[in-house]
Amino acid sequence: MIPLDHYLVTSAILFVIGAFGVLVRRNIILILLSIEIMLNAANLSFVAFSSARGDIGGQVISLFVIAIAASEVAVGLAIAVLIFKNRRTLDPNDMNLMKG
Amino acid sequence: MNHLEIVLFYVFSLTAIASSMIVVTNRKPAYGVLALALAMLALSALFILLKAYFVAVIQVLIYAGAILVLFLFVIMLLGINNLESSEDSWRKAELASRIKIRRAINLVLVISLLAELLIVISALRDVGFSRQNLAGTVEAIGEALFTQYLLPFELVSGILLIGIFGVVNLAQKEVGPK
Repeated sequence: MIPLDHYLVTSAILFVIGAFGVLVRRNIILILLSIEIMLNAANLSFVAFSSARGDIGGQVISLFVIAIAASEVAVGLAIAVLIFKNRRTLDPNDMNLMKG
Repeated sequence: MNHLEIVLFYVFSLTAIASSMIVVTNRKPAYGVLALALAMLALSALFILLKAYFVAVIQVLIYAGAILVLFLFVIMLLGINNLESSEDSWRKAELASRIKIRRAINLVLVISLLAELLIVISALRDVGFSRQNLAGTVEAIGEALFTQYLLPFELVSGILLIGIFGVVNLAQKEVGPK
């Protein structure tokens, strides 16, 4: 059996990769993809703890996380499409006005 | 058996990490989405190693099947596959050094975050978990979902409904390039 730490270290590395993507990418779609990586890293931690402690709750919560991620992506992509139609750009540095 | 499990764990976790790196470093969003699909499949294999069968299936169905397809549709609909590389050249020359500095600062921040997480994980090593044989089958998860987690389950349905309203509302807006 693989120790819990291995899964947690994998999850930490994935989370950090996603955080780096959110910080350095300059395209909303790639930022949303990086957020997906971070959510999945959290999911891996939940499932690993659930399996290690013999408690099903972690797996249930990871299902909730997947549902939240789905609705977040739908809304985020709709906003990205609207911004692209309005401004012809997806660079978050260009989005400095609330009124489009 | 044991060796096989260790080999599988390393193969799938390294696949997940490598393809996430591709997502973060690639310039074209479409390649990023495909690499993320690979990462999702590797993660679902890790879930199967953890005996979370239902979560693994849902991971493949929802992430690889629905979310990433939505990403691909948006990318192809907008035709923005190499938007990031087609920026104005004068801006690029001006910003190049600043971007490099910002990237280095972000790298330092992120590495310190990783160090912090690893310190926390190494402290957890001493806690000592009792590893029971828990199988995340549909039956077990359904029982927990409809008894102990009933209220969060209903709230999630509310959030999905709000998401639908939001997307429909946003999609109906009439906008044009200025």
